Amino acid sequence: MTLFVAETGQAVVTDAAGAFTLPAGSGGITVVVVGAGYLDRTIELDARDAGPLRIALEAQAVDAAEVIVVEGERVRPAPGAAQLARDEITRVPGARGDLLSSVKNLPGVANNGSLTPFSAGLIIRGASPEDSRILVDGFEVPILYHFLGVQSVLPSEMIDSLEFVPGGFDVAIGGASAGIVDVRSRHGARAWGGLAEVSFVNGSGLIEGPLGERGSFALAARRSLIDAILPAVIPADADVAFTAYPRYYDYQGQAEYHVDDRLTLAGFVFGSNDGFDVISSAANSGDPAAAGGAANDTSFTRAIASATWATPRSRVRLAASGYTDTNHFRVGRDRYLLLDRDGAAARLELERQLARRVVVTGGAEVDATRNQYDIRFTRPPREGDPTPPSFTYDALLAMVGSSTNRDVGAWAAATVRPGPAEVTAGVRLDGDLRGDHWTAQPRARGKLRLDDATTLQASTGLYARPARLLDENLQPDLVPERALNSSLGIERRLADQLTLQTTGFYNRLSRLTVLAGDRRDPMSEAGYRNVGTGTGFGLEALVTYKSPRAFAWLAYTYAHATRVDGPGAPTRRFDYDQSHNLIAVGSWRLGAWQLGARFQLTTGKPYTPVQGAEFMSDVDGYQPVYGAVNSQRVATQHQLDLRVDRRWRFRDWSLALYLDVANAYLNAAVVDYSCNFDYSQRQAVTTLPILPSLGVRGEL
Amino acid sequence: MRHAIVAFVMLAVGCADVTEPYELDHARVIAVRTEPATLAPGEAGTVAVLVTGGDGPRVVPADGLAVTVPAPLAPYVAVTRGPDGWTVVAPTAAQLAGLRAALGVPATEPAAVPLTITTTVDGVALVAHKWTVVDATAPNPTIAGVALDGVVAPVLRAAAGSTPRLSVTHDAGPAAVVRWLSSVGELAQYQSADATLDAAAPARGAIVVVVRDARGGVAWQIVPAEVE
Repeated sequence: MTLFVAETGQAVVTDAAGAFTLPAGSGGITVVVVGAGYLDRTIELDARDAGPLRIALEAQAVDAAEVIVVEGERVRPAPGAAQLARDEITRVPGARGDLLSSVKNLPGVANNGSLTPFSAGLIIRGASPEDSRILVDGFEVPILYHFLGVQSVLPSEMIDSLEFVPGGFDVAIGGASAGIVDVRSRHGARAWGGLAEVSFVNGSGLIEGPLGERGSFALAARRSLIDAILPAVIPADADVAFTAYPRYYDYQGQAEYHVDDRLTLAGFVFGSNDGFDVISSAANSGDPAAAGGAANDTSFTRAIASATWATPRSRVRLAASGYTDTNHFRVGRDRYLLLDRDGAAARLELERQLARRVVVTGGAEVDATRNQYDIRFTRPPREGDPTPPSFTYDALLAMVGSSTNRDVGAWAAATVRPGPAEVTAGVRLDGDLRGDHWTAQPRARGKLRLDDATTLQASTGLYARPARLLDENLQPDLVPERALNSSLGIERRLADQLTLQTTGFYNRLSRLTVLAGDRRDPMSEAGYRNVGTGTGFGLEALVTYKSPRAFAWLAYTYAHATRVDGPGAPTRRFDYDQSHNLIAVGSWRLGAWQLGARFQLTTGKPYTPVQGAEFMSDVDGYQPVYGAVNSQRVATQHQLDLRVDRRWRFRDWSLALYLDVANAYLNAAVVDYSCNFDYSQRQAVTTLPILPSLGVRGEL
Repeated sequence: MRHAIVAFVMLAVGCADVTEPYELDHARVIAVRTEPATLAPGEAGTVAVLVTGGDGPRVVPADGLAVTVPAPLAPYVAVTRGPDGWTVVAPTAAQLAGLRAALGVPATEPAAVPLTITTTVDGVALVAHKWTVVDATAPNPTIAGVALDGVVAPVLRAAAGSTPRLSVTHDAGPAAVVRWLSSVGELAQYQSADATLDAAAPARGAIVVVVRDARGGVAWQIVPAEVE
């Protein structure tokens, strides 16, 4: 491998082990790494980066096994943040090769199972899924996973990097009061290549190649196969009939062109669709209006274009996005929720090194969304409300209309690096023009290198999430929810291949949106109020081991999250409060074989006990009598996942076969309870007892 | 946003019953009725409660009940237990405004008296609620007969292995809500006027039908049933 210093033209050749030494400079330098069979990689460094540095090079074909990931001291953007290496993550057992699904293996993320009503979002540091944002190339996507977490909406092959920040992210990101998942799309290789894969879960394909003299492209698509399998497994005498079997698909197209050494143009178009339509002849005694079936049609599209101009001291990125979202749901014969959104957003990011130890950043973004709705539905259940939704007895929201959201944001920050320390401070201003709500959010973080192996990090700041969840959007007077998030962490290299990262966090939440009144009372049209408060605190630890033939990590999270639903209300556990979450992952390469195992042990989810029920004679139904909200927990959950990969290499292509078995010892863990019509009996809602995925993958 | 809705829908439609609502196998209240169904101002009505339990369906005697109204309504509504059972006396015309104010009901809406009934069946404390509208007097609906495959009889008899049709004749009008319950066999379409009895095995018990009209009126009938 050869490393070129762009500013001086100096070339440095690595030794047989891949080691190298770069000359220290007084300012920033741009290093281009070139090696036969691998994609060129450009890295910007400055004087503060003196010390061990590891650089990953990606093979020109999309063979994930050929990605060289070299360990190094990463500059974490916030305590507890993690950047995932694709070659490891795609081999984590239970994740079915899905990079985004593997985020759930990191500290700070609660275990919400797979294929359960609670598993579709990310619960980060005791916050609701809606409090976090998923960004792709700087723009939000509405969902992260297909079908309750079975697969993410972006295949691993289209992801260049994924940064998971559970809190303390900088001022460049708004609209989230908990964590972010920041995904950067992957550009295609300059050499022609491709892959095809079929598993029990889905089939997918990818093709990539050159685009002109200085560009590349990649096209990919994926479709679930469950609609091919379901007809074979549903009993003939079942009282359900699918008009459309559950299915999903997603697609991606990416192109990048380097106009010159400084200007890069890129475009990324991607989308996703999930749907099903089931008709049922079964009666639903507890909720007659829900009888008859259910249907779902959810999709989104995103088109992102960007221009990035970069020099050793400056970086400017201008990006624009057009988008559409469709959320159509039907339950029973006349309960439906039809939401359609379309809009456009733009984002400008600026970065400039003013002096040797001073960097300033800034930017602005605008987002205009048109919402159209046709609703005949009940209010959705809120966090902390144990009452199951009833399409028969709940008060109906019935309305047709449209609205427009106009959001603006701007930010500025400065980073100074005195000696071994680094301090970044900035402020972000978010404006909701529809509701005329403005929120200033000061944030700061610092880092102190104690010695060559140890770094101390801290962050604090104000974060805000606009009230845009479901029917919150119908009430423009709601102000953004707020969170004052603080964290303190330490990273230490314990040995050459062993690192430890620990982070403590404390989050104080305010202005939480709470339903004022009874969801079932048609006279209770008071709507939502920003009167809730909450706290979350905990400790995260991550020990990682990495060698040429193996990787392993041990992640542990202790967390405690509570909520207060208004002045005078009692303090209660948060719906997703999870005291302990322990994850151990290991994977070993034995020749052409790769063997992996993953074990997870977590505290059971809180639930609200039903103490009885009172009969409502006029509606022939039962109203449950609850005990204290979230005062009990389901049993501790544990799960073992296994994975075996076998690869065959040929002259121009390779073939891989894998078996990924989630929940290998058939422990169907309880995640909640549902009750019968008069609440005299309850039934456990469990995870799937086992989820095997056998797949074959060919790569050019 | 989507995951919240999907979870919502799954919770709503994915809850399976362990015991079917038509079964009469455990202690619970089946219906509450005031006679008449709606009360004129100052009028008195009686309260009856149909329950089921280990002894099958039955009407609870007055000394096995307690009927109350919320304390803020006590100045307007009288509830007493006498020789004819529990009696509720609606507020007079002069008291109606006070009742509406206590309930938070606007003058344009009909006022209704919320009754809370408590009883004990098989050692299980049961609570039921019934709203009785105060307006013009209206009677409860009546049931003229319960038929098995079109045959009305004092005891409904079905052959084991048959699936006869249950039907009820009533005067509750087209908006009536009919509920069937049974301690023999299994019922299908038990929430419709015409149900089907799956008389799989020999058994003796009862079939109950409850008819509710749009004004809060209730009628029920308990018919012995045998599968032979």
